[in-house]
Amino acid sequence: MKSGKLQLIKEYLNLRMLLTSISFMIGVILLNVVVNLKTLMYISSITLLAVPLAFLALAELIVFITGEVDMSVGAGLTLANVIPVYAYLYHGIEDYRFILLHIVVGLSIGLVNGTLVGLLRINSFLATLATSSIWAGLSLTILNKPEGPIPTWYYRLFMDGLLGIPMVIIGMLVAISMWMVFRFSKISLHFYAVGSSSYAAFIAGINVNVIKFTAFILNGLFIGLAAIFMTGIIASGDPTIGLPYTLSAILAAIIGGARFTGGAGDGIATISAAVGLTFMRNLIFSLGVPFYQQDLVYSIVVLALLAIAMYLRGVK
Amino acid sequence: MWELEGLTKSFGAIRAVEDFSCSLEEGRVYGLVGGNGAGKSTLVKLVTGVLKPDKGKVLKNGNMLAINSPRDARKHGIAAAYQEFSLVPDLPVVNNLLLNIEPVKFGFIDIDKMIGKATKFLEKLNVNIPLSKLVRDLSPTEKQVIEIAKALILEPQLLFLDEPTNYLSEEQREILFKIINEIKGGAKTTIVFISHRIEEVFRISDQIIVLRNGRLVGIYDPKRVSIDDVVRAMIGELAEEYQGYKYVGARMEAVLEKEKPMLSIRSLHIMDKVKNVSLDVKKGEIVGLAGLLGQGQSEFLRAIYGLLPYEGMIIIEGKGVKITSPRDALKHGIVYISGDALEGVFLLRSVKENISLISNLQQGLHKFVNTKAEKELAIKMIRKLNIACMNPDQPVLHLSGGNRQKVYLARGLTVNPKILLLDDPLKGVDIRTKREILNMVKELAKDRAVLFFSSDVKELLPIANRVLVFFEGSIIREFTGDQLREDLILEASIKGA
Repeated sequence: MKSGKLQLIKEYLNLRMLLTSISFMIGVILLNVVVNLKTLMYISSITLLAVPLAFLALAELIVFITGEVDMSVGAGLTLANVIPVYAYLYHGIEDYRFILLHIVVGLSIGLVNGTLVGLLRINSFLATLATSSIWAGLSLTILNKPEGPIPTWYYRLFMDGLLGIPMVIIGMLVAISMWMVFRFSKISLHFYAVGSSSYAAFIAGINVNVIKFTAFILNGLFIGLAAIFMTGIIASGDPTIGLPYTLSAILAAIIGGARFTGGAGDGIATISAAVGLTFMRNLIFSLGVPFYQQDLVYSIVVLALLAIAMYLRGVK
Repeated sequence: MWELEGLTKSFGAIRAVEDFSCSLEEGRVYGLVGGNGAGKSTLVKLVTGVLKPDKGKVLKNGNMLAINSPRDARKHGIAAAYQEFSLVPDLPVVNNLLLNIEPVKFGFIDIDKMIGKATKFLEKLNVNIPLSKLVRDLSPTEKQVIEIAKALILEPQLLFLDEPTNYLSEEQREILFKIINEIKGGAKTTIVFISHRIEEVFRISDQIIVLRNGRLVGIYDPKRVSIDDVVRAMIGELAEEYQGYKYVGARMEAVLEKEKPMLSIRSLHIMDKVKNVSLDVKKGEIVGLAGLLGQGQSEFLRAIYGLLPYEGMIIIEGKGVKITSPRDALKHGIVYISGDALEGVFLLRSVKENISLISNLQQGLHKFVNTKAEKELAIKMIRKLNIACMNPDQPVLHLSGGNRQKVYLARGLTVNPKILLLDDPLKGVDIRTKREILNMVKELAKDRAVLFFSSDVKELLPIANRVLVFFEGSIIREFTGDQLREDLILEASIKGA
């Protein structure tokens, strides 16, 4: 009886996937240290950079699990960063509503995508590719260049931490605990069921469309959280900040065990993959790759990683 | 008391279930039997909300039920174990058993309770499958058990079991029968039991409902009628539609005796689908494969075409060959045509391209397509098979089902095969086209070996030299000469002997 429970929890936590992903993360961090010993001093600030990506990767993962994809997470992040900064700069919204606005924008994004995919049944790749352009266009309309500053208290929060606890720790804890709450709620089982076999889920009386809609709402919540951290880190509103994040978020989810066909993927593994990828970017920087070639090199490495991830999965 | 009233469902031109009415009493087991395409599975899905009936309704104790989805059916106490399974491969066994009825504590899954409930239940069923194992890693037998358990755990008042014994061992079947008797006596559950094993149906049922061509033939009391009576009801009176044909097999047999076999199969095994099948097909011979659907006929043909792994020997013109892919098969002059044109044709491409695909490939990928030769080939085949299309450039999408099937066949013929494997190729084809294709197959067989599986015996009779009946993966009977009669073959198919 006891061992049955342990086995099941192991299955839920997807230990095999977790181990792969964590070894990837540790491997990349070690490489960083080998290349440049000084990295040790910056570990926490680099990890802070990984927090927005971690949330964004969770946003991607949650729709991947139900068998859909979101091509708009990067642009969504931008919009959820730009609108609150605009509201502060031009409408003086600077109290708790400044934080809340990030979440509101995120949820609205999720609502639109969720309606298109879950309720109107538009192919998620197409729908989110289109909304991606809309979010990007809206962001540029609202702020046509990076603008700042942000409320001072908010900026200080990221410098000094909340009640002395650094924001990187708070961010990671929120990400991990949100995933755990999701994973041990009944709804996660329905998410996996829909992604794995929508027919079987339908037979069991699960409303497949509502599940897909809900997935995008949660996706929006995670996008909002990603933006909260992004705004604090860059201390400004930047209408182009999110663009490269879509690919990284997808990759982190894939390393975290997600499949394009749905029904798989683990949150903790995805979070550690996001950290690993952020250190990967730092590694490329440390190696002295010129600025304009960094994206090129990073993307090639990303493709190589993708190939390795697919190969390892095939071996199983 | 459950009542089904006037249930009707069509798929395109095919009437799957027509005006089906009957009442089902509490605490009784109803066997549901019928030949291929009788509409059993469709009927189940109409009641469980998987399919929406065109007409008709379901009543419970006189009240009409609104069933628009399986979710509604569940609410009214209706559950089913489906023939093709309804399991989630990426979830553990326990979450499949309790999908959508997970116990919850403080908003979280109550793992202890969940495991407790599932363990207790599986113990009752006397099965030992680790609860945390993913369903994708289960054997077919284990999946079957879970599919049944998943329906039972809902404690339904109306339970459909569609071919539940397919993958079960002898003992497991006994356990299932014991449970059926228990819940019918205890919880007063109404059970509808579908099986191709007719003795099984006789053993477990209080009443036997016979379906034929989507219609109710009658409801019989197994204590008062014999298996033969029910089989006769399933077969019905013989159809007239093929009477235009004269039997040709006998005349050809004399010629064939001298011929060496073109294709020989020796003790072929395919996973748990086909067991120890051996046969010979001579040049000029059409060997018909019959039997109920899903008895391994398709798998048998697909394996010879390299689509499924097999054990055993395939011998072509005296030489043993190993076939692991359709490429191998084509190289040895084997062509396979299934009844699912969608599997074989490219809907958006033209008739011309579809027909000349293989011959173009055989000329090598590095060469440009010889468009003139391509067109000539297409026109030749269109004439030969009498394909109804406006011109060779018309997309196959615009063609009728029968003509799509002909395009599929035409492509197969462009490679001039020695051996033709036909896997229920006339499914859903109209009667005129059927006749045309049958004539064509007869013509083609003159210098070829043909293996022809049909779910409708009437298609085999006019052209087959002999008919082999499959049952549970083995050939159980062979019919030749005067024995080639629809009633005899159907009887053997249903009885499995």
